Amino acid sequence: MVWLPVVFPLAGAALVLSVRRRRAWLGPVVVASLLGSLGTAALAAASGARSSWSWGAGIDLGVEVAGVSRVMVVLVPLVAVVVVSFAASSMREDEALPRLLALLAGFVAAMELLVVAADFLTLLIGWELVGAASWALIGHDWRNAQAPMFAKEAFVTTRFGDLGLYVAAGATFASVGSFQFADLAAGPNDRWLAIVAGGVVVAAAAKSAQLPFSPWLFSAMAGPTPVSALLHSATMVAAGGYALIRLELILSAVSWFGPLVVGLGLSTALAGGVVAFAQSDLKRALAGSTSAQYGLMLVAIGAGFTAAGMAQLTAHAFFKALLFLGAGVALHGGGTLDLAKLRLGSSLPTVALLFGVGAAGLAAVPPLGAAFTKEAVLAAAFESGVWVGSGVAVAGLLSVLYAARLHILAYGRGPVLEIEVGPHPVEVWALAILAAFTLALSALWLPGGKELVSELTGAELPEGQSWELAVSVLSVVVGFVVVWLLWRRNLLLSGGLPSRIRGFLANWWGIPDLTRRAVVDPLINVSNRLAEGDGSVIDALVRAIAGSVVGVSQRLRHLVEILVDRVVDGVGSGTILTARGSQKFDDGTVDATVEAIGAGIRFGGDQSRRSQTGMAHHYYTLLVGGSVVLFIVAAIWR
Amino acid sequence: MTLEAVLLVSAALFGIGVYGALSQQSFVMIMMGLELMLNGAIVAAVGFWWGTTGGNPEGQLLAIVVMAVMAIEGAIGFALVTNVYRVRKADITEKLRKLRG
Amino acid sequence: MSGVIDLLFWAFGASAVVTGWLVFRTDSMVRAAYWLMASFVAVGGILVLLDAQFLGLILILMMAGEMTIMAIFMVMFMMNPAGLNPMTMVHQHRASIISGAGAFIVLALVALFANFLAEPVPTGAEPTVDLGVELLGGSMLVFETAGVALLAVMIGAVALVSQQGRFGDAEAGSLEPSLETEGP
Repeated sequence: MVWLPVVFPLAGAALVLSVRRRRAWLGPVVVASLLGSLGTAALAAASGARSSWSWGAGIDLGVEVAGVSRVMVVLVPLVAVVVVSFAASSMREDEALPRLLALLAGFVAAMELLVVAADFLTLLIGWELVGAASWALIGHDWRNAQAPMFAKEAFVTTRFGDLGLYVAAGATFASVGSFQFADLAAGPNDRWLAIVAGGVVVAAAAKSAQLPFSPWLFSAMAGPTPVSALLHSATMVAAGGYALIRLELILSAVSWFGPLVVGLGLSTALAGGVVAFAQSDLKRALAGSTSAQYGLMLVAIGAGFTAAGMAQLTAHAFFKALLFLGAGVALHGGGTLDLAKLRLGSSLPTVALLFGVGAAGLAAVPPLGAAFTKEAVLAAAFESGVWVGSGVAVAGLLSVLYAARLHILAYGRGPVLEIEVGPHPVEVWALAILAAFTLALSALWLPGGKELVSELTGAELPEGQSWELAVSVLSVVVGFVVVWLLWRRNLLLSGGLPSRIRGFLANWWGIPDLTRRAVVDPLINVSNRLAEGDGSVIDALVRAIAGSVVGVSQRLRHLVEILVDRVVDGVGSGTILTARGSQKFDDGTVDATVEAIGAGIRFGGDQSRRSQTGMAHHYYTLLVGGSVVLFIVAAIWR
Repeated sequence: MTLEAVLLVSAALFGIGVYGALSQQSFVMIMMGLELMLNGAIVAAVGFWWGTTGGNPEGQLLAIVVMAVMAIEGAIGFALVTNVYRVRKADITEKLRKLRG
Repeated sequence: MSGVIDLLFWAFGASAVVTGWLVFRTDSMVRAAYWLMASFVAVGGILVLLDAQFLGLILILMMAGEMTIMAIFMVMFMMNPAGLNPMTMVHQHRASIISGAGAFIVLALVALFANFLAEPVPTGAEPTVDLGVELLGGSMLVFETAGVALLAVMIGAVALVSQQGRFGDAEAGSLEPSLETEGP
């Protein structure tokens, strides 16, 4: 039962590949499978089941739907249905659409597996599969030389972080003898647990594009827009945050776990916010904002309030997916993602309105649900400390700044352009559905919202102070004022920064360059050196062996030739002798015999010819003689 | 006059006939030898009829058939001799050598 | 009475053999034919003595005519019809004597040593009547066949010696037969 949300998308992937000829069926098939996954996920969430599958050698893969996984297991297919419909529609001209849809469905299956995992091994399987699906999807347009390169960058970075999860799984097994979360929870708080915590934090930071792993999300933007909308905003990057939420109860026993997570998240939120504000590429700006928003979530988790983190994750999934889909429409319609050139508000009014809803969510404008969740995060941060809370407030101000800037630059009022490829009705409906969900989350402000959240996630929301709400509203207002001022002075694109500095900031504070110089290049050098060593030492050894073998075999061949020639000569002369002897015998004896027989027969023939005289009287004589003989024989025989 | 005596006479006639048929060169003389042999045969046939059949007329019939054979053989034999002489100018057996070899 | 018959039988038998022998000893061709006829007459006599009177007489009748014809042929084919010059025209003389003697001996041995049934002709029988009844009764086919065969022979003989031979006229190219023999 619990496996069904995993099985449905897998079946959908297989089905899509099998009917890849009939393009009209592709979209409906995959969307139907995802709806099936959604339905079974809802049922599983309502019933709260667990199950396990025996891997062998005493290891079981366990899955369960409890606590926060109940929300996540429904959220993933919900967003996936909308985004995949958008993908099927906007990429309907693409020849490789079946492959794209099959990979998206496969990704959803792997993500669901990750979500329902109840032990490290299952989590690892889902984690790795999700990374592999991401690589394949980013590199979807592989004929373009850029896409596979970016896919490789993204994949190697996240894979590097995954080593942390491997270390954590191994440490768990060493500590309690099994991979199950429950067993780890019951286990001792010793250095093994510390190793587990460290490993999980590294893996989560890499997956959620936190510092210092953030640049891979920029590389991931090379993929198709629906891929960015599903993977790199709502679900895959959420896996990092989700893992931390899932294991927070267990890992908070380690003393430095909370502070580390809070520090990581806060620094990423602030740095990412600046990056998003400085970027001039629409998708990269959104990527920077994703890192920043996940940083906020990590702050809440590190402070100990997983409910707040989960709520923020949910709200973020909806409006971030909406924003990315809007970016996709902008790409198709305007033909570019450069914020200097886009002003599609007058050309695509409906889409601009829906994009505005998303931007409002990103800015956490009350009374949207996103504001409620931001409030919870802020409260959690202030519970952790004043400086942390102030940092979160500054990050909130930054989010207002970059959200408003994005909306104005991308979908602000501009000239009415000739749209090349306008959005298909399905795409507009997708945007509308996501906007509706974003608006619907506003219900959380109603009384009973807090209780609902606590009940769904199984954890407590922090008690918010009313002055914290005032701080949020103030930051929203200040942010809008600043943006309006900049817009008035036409400084929105540059943001009042000199271009060199803006370029440095926009490129993630120079982190890619740093990593290349500090990590990538030395590694490549070392491996080249090793290859050379291998070539000179090992290859030389192999060559020497081969050379000696060749020499030995040549000598053997020489010997054999001499020997074999002698033998053959001997055999030859023996045969000739034998032949001569037999010839003599044949001539002397056999031929003589045959000739003698022939001569004898000839003699006999000549002699018997003499009886043919042609004379009648001779024949009569013979007749009489013969009759007499017959007579005698007959007489005696009687 | 016993059957053995009759058969002796018949054997003597037959032997003389054989001698004549084998020794004579001329065709006609050979035919005479053949006649003598047939003579002997007739005597033997009638002898057997007289001594062993008890009056069965088929014995006499045999003798009549042999006589008819004599007549036939004589007629055809002379006709052939004439023909051979006309074609090959041969009246003695030595002259017919075509089948030699 | 039987003594007379025996005597007659031996006389006829001896004369038949001797005259048969004389056929090949005489020089004259015509006389050879007549010696043969004498032999046949003696044989006819023997047949009469053997109670086959009809057969003996028709033998004499037939042979009389036949020997006359044979005498004519002798004169036609032999160079020395009158026998004025002695000559011997024989070949393989010793082989033929041996063959003749051998044939006689073998048949004589058979005659003397074989067991024959003893069923003589009944004394009151009429062989001629029996023969006549048989010829025109049960053995009619044989009789008729013999008659047809004789007819065929007559026709055949005439066909063989007709003047238009296969190789041309019978008159054309007649050569005298040579006096030498060409050896066996």
